[in-house]
Amino acid sequence: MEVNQQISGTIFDIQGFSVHDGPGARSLIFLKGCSLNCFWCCNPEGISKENIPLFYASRCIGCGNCETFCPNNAIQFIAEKPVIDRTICEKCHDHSCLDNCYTDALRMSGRTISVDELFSIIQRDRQFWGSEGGITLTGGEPLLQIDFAHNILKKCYESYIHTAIETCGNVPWKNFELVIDHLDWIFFDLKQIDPKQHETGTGTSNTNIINNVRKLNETFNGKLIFRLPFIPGFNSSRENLAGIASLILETKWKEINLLPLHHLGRNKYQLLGLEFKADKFPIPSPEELQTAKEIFEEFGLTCFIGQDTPF
Amino acid sequence: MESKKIECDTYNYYGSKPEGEIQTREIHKSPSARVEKSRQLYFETKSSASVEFPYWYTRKWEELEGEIPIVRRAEALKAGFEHLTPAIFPGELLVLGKSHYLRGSYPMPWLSEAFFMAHEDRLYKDALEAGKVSADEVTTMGQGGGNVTKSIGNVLSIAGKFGLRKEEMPILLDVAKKWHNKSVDDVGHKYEQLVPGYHEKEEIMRAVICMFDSGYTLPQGREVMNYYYPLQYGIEGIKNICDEKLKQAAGYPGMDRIYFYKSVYTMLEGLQSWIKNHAEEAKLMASLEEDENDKSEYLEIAERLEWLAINPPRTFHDALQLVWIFHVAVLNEDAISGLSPGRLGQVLYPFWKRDMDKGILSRERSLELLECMRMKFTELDCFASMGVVGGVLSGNTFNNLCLGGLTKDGESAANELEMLILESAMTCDTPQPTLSLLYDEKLPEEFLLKGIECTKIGTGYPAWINNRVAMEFLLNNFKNEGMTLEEVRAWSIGGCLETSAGSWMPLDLDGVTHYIPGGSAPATSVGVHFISLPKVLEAVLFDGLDKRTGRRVYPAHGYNLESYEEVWKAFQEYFSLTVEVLTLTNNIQHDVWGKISPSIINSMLKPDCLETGKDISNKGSRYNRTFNVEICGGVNLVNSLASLKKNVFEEKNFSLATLKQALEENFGYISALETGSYSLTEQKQTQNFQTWLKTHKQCLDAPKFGNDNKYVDNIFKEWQEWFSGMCENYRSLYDEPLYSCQISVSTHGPMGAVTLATPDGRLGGTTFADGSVSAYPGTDQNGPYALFSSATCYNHASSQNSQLNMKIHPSVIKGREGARKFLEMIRAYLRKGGFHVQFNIVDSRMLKDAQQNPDKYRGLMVRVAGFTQYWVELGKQIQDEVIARTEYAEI
Repeated sequence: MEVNQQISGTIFDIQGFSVHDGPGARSLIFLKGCSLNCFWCCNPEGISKENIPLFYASRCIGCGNCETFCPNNAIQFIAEKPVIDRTICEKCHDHSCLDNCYTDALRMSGRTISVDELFSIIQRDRQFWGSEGGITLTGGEPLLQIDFAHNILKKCYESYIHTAIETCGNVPWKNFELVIDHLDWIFFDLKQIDPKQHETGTGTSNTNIINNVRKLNETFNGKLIFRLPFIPGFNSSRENLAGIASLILETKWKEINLLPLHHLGRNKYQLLGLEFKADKFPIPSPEELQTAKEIFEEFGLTCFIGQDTPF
Repeated sequence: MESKKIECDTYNYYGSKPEGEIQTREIHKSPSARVEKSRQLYFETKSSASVEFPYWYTRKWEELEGEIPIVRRAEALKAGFEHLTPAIFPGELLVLGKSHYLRGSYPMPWLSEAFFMAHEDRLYKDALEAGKVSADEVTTMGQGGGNVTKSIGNVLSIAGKFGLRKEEMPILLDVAKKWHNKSVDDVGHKYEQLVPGYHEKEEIMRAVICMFDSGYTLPQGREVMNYYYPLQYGIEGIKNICDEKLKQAAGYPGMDRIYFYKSVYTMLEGLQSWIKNHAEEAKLMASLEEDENDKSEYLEIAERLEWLAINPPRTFHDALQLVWIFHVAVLNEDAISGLSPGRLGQVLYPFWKRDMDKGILSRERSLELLECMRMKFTELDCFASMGVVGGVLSGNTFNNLCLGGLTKDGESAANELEMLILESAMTCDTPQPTLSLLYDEKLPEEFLLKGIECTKIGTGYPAWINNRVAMEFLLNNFKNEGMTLEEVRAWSIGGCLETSAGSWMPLDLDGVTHYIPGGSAPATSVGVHFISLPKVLEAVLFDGLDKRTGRRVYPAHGYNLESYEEVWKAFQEYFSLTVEVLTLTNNIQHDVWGKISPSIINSMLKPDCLETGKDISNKGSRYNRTFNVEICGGVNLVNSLASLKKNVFEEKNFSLATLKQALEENFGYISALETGSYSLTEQKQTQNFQTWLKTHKQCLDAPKFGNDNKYVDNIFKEWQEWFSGMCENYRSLYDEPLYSCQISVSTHGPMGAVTLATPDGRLGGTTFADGSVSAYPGTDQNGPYALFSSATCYNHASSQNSQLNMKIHPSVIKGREGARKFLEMIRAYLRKGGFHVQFNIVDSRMLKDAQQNPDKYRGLMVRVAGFTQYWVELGKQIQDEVIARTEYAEI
C-alpha cells in the first residue's frame, strides 16, 4: 500500500519528552477511539473515536451561551449548570458551544490532524529526543484508526525513526498485519486470562486478544513487552497471574511490566460527566506488587513494576 | 491504554488541581556534621547591618579632604577593614566575613545615602520625588527566612530586609548625612541632568519603565573574579610589585599610575590588618576553648591567617581561604551583586592535585572544605535598596561558580575537583554559590551525568549553559579588543547569566605552569538596566502616558495606530528614546562612580590593571565592552503584539479603542495589587466582568510564544534581531557599543505590578513571564519540544544571554533512566543553539503548601531566573509566578 499523505486521523494529544513508553525520550501520540471500555481507564476521553467536549465545572459561570448556541439541543441547563448529551456531540462538527464559552469551561478533547502535519511535528521533535527515542502511538487503541496509524508508522519507520505502539490487542488481526513490518516495539496489554472476567472489566471477551498474541509470536520479530494494569480485586489473584504467565510462556517474549492502578484519572471522569468506578478498587500496596512480581519470576519471566523499567 | 497523558494545563492555566500525594524530590543528601551545625545556625540568623565600616570609612574620608580621590578612598577603605571587629564562628574551617555578623553587611553611603533612611526622613522624600525609589515602592520582599522586614524590639528594619541595632541608627543617619550631595548618587544626579532628555529619564524611572540606575546601586558585579595574583604572589608579593611599579612610574607621564599603585598598596595593608585581627581572634578563641580538638582548630586558623597575611598559599586549604579573603575584600569595597568565583574548580585544581598526590588531603576533607565554602558564600548579603535587593535580586548575591568548558588548548576542562564541587552542592544544598555547567561536546559523559544528578536534587543548579554559543558571542563582542580563540575559552558566567570575558593566567607551582582561568573584564552588566517592554507598549497604546500614575512619560508619538506596522514603529521609537537617555545618564553616573568611588581591590585583581597602572574605570581591564541593555517582559510584549496584530488588525475582532478600554478595566478583574495574588491562576472578578469575557478570551486565545507557532515566533525573532542590532547604536562610557542582555532576575515581579493588563490577556499587576525565552506561565500547551523550537527561533549568540526556565515534576526524571533521558533532552536543546536552560524539579503543590506553611519549609529552595533562593525569602510576586509556571508532569 502506498503511503497516502492526505489521510487524517483524530488524536487527543501529542506529548513530548515522554520517558516511560519505550527507549529514550519519546513523543507519544494519543489516537482516539478504543475497542475496550475498561473501568479503570486513565484516559477516558480517548475511548470515543470522535471529538468530544470536556466540561470544567469550576470555570463555568452559568452564562448559558453553550445551551443557546448548540444547534442540536445537546445541552440543557439544570441548576445553572449545563448537562451535556455527548452522544449528540459525537456526531456534531459545529463548535459554536466552544467558541461562545468565554471562560473556557468547555474545551474540546480531540482534533483532526493529517499524516503530513503530524509527521512534521515528529520531525521537529526528533531533534530533541537525543540518541535514542522515537514515537509511541497510544490512545485509545492506536490500531483502530488503522489507515492513519499505518501511514504514520510506515513514514516514520522509513525515516529511521524508532516506532512503538501501545495496544490493548483487541483489533482485527489484519490491522496488526498491516503495521508489523513498520514497528520496532510493541507494548501489549493483558488484563485478565478469564474471558468472562475480562468481559466484566472491559466490556469484551479476551479471545481475540489472545489469538493476536499467538499470531504476533509467529510473525513479529521486534521487541514486545507485555503490560498488566494491576488492579487488586480484579486481576490480582494468583490464578490470574499464573494464567497470564502461562500465556506469555507460549511466546518468545519474556518481559512483563506491571502498571499499578492509580486514581489520578478521576478528574477526567468528572470532565466527561461519567462515574469513576475504579474508586472502589484500592491502589495496590508495594507488597502486593512485589508478590505479583515474584509469581511472574517463578515462571521465569522478567517483571518490572511501574516506571521502574530498564528502558 | 496506560500511557499517562499530561494534564498540566488543566491545573495551571485553568486552575483546578490534580489529586494525590505531593511528590517530594528524589535525592536527598546531608553535609558533614560540622557543616550541618553551621547550616542550622544560618537558618536561625537574620540579615544584619552594622555601621562599623561606614563609620570608619567616612571618618577617614573626612580627615583626608584635599587628598587625591583614589588615594583618599584607599585610605578610607583601609580604615574600614582595620576596624572591622573580627568574628569566628564555631566549627568554621574558612573564616572572615563582610562584618562581625554571621549574615552581615552594611550600607555604603558613599554610593547612595538616601535609600536606607527612614521613610519619614526628608532625604528619602527627596529620593521619592525624583522617581529614584519608585521600584522600592512596588516591590514585595519575601517575609520569611532571614529577612528583617519589620522592626522588632531593639532591632530596626532598614531597606526592607536588614536588621540594625537601634543604638546604631543615629550613627548611620549622622554618617549618611555627611554624604548628602557628595555620594555617587547625588553627584551623579547633579550631572546627569545635563543630558537633554533628562526629563524623560526621570519620568521613565518614576513609571518603573526602567528598574534602576546601575551607577550608584550596584556599580560592580555581574563579573568574574580573578584570583591569580594573590594565589601566585601572596599579599606581600603584590605589595612588592606595587613598589617596583611605583619606582618606574614616579615622575613620568601618565602619573595616575602612581596614585593607583599607592592605593593598591594602602588597601593591601588594610587587608593585612583585617586578616591579622582575625588571627588574634582565633588565638583568643583557642585560649578560651577547653575541647582539645577545637582548640587546635582555632590555632590552625590563626597560623593559616598569619601565613596568608604575607605569603602565597601552601596547600589547597590555604588557597581556598585566600580566595575567600579576596572575594569578601572585593565585596566590601562596593555594593556588588553577582561577583562570581568563576571556574574555581579549575583555578584551585593545581593546589588540590598537589595535596592529593602528596597524600596530605583526602576526598572527605576536600568535600568538607567545599561544604564550608558553600556556607560562607550563602551567608553573604548584599546591602542595597529594597527595590534592588527585593525587586531585582530577591535577596540573592549571585556568586556563580562555573564548571566544565574548555582548557586553553581546547580540551575538556572538567576535573575531579569539579566532581567534588558538584557533590558538595548536593550534600550542602544552599543557594550559594550557584553552579553553572558550561556544556561542551568535549565534556566527558560521567561529568555531565554528575551534573544531572545535581540538577535532580531540585535546587535549580547547575544551570546548563552552551559553551559554544557563549564563545561565539564573546569572539564577536570583543573582536575589536583583540579577543582570540584561545582566550575566549577562559570565559565564565558572571552573576546570574552574564557571559563574561576571561583570560588564562600562568600559575607557577613547583616550576610547572598551569594556565588558570579568571575574569578580565569589569562589571559586564551595567548600563541600561531592565526596561519593561510591556510598559513601553502600554505607553505606545496610550500615546506616551503612564496609566498607573496618569503622568506623561514620553512625548506623544503622533501615530493613529491604524496598522500593526504603526504600533511596531511607535514601539521602536519609544524604546530607542528610552535606551538613549538611559545610556547617557548612566554613563555619567558611572563616570562619577569612577571618580568618587573607584574600585581598587577588584582593579588590582583584574588583568591588566596591575600591569598598566590603570583602574577598571580607566579601561585598565583587558576587555572593556561591558555596558549593556537589559530588558524584562519580552515574551509578554511579543504575545501582546501577536494579539494586537491578529485581533485588532487582521481579524478585526475588536477595535483598538475597545481593547484599550478592556485593558484599563483590567478585563473585568480586580487588580492583582488589591488581591495580592500575582499570577493568572487566582484572580477575582469585578461586577462587570461579563462585559469583557469575550474580548479576554480572544486575547488569551491569540498565538502564544512557546508553542512552535510561527505566527508569534516570527514576531519574537523580529523583535530579537532588531533589539540586538539597535543596542550597537549607543556608546558606553568606555566608548564601546552596547550589547543586548536578556535576563529578568526578579524584575518581572515588580515591573509587572505597575503595568496594566496587556493585550495578550495578562491581567494588570500580575507578574510577567520570567527569563527571556520562557513561555508565559501556563501558555505553553504543546510540551517541551514545542517550547524548545520557539526558544531557538533566533541566534542566541547575538545577545549576552538568553534564559529558559522550566519546571519539571520529580517523577518525570526519576531513576537511572530518567537521569540519562534528562541529559539527552538538555543536550538536544543546547545542540539546537539554546544558550541556557535551568530547572525547578518540584511538585507545584509543594510550593503552594510552602506558601501556606512557610515554617515547614525553611530549607526549600527554588530556581527563579538565573538564581536559586530559599522559598521563604522570595517576595509573593515571584512565588506566585513560580507556582503558576507550566509544570511538565505525567499523572
